[in-house]
Amino acid sequence: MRAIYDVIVENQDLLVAGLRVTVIMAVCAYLLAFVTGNLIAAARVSPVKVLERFAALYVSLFRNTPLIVLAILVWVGGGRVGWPFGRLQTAIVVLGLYTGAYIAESLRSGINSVPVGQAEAARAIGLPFLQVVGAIVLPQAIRTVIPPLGNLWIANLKNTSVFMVIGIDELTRSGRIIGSALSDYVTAFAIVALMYLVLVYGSAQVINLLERRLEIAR
Amino acid sequence: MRTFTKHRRLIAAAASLALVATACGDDGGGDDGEEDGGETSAPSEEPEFEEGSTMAELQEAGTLRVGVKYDQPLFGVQTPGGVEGFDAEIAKLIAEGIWGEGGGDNVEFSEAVSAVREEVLENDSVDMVVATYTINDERKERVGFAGPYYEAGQDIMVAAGNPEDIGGVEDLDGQPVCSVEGSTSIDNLREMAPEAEVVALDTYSACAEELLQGRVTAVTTDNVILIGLIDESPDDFELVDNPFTEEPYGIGVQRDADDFRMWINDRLEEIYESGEWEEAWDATAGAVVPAPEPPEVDRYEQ
Repeated sequence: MRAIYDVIVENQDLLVAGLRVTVIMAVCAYLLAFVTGNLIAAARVSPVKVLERFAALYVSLFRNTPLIVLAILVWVGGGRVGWPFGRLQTAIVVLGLYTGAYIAESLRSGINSVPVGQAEAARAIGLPFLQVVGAIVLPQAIRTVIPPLGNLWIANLKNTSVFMVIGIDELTRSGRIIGSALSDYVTAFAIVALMYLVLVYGSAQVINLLERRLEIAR
Repeated sequence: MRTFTKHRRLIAAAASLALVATACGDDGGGDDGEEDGGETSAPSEEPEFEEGSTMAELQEAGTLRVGVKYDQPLFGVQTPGGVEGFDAEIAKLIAEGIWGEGGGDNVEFSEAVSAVREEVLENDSVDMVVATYTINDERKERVGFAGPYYEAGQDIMVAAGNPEDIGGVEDLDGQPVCSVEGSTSIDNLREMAPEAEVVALDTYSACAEELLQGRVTAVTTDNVILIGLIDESPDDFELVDNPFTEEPYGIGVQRDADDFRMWINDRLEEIYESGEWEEAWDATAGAVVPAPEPPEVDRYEQ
């Protein structure tokens, strides 16, 4: 235990730097994912056939491909055909679009849980589709799906470690650098695991709080 | 009439005997006269060794069992035609010292991956290991090292034409540089060019891709690995050829075979002298980098 503490103190700069990148990536990717997820979910339930097809295709593309494959494909393959983003931006975009597909699916199940009568009533009083979705259906849908959205935030946070393969110096990479320097990967990764645990546990508390505040009493 | 025929038969028999004799003689003798390429240090006949010596035993056994890499481009690569590369050539030249010319055919290669190189010597699976094998004190506890026969070192690979004008490790500060995490190469890089922007990936081919796309300025690791990468795409990459660490490659022998170790050292000096070492380089790794000066052998005491 003493040894672990010493290792943390000696490598705190590296650990903090890695943590910082991990959190930046996770937050930015999730924001992008949330926007993408809403758009795709809206498209998925829209009466316009092309939009619905596109949304279905999008979801199946991102859900059926391992994240690590997407990361390498976009970074290396994209690099050959003029992909404009830098390393960290690429990671955020890929992770955001990936998590976005899952958010879209969660929202869709939320949307389906809103009684059809509400949408019918909204349309009956003359609201256009966008307003029906944006003002009546989605706000209720999002509340219902806060627990799954929380799970997706956690998955999104942990998935940032995948982007080590395209050379992002995030928290897991810090673990590898320390492990290699100490020739002791167990200690290094125990520290890294602990840091992820604290991050995830902390955010789970926030999610619980949100859930209680936004819960729809039924 | 009869006697005449008999005579002719005799003459014919004698003539064919003579023909056979010259044909046989040609094999050994003719080659010596026709060597107009590089000179050879290999004796034309089997040299004699002191009875009971490792060399005499090997000569008697008729094969030299050599552990090499099968996957190290230009040093040891398994091909349908046998093992090719600089290490394989060195092994053959050493065999010629045991059996004389053509002795290279008596080499029997087997694969010795990095992790088992001490083991295959210790359990007598091979007589010697020529497998990009760095001499160090820890290994000397378990095996004997002849050589070094090549001085490897960490070097830098840049895009063809060297657009950033990288001349050595000191030019890497401030530049994005790729290497593989967990390797001593990346530790050396962090230490010797602390201002370099280190990009750590999983494989050197991934680093090569980064360099190809211009996302990093340089890739750094052992020159032997870089030489292999350059060999695959000679139009895209080039070697700075200014190593900043020293990795002397030795020939591993069984630890108790001290006579063999010392004899290999002599043999190495012979092939340095005769130019065969340089020829072996030119025929293999010479495709990527010109032959360096051969290193001085180290006759250390065990």
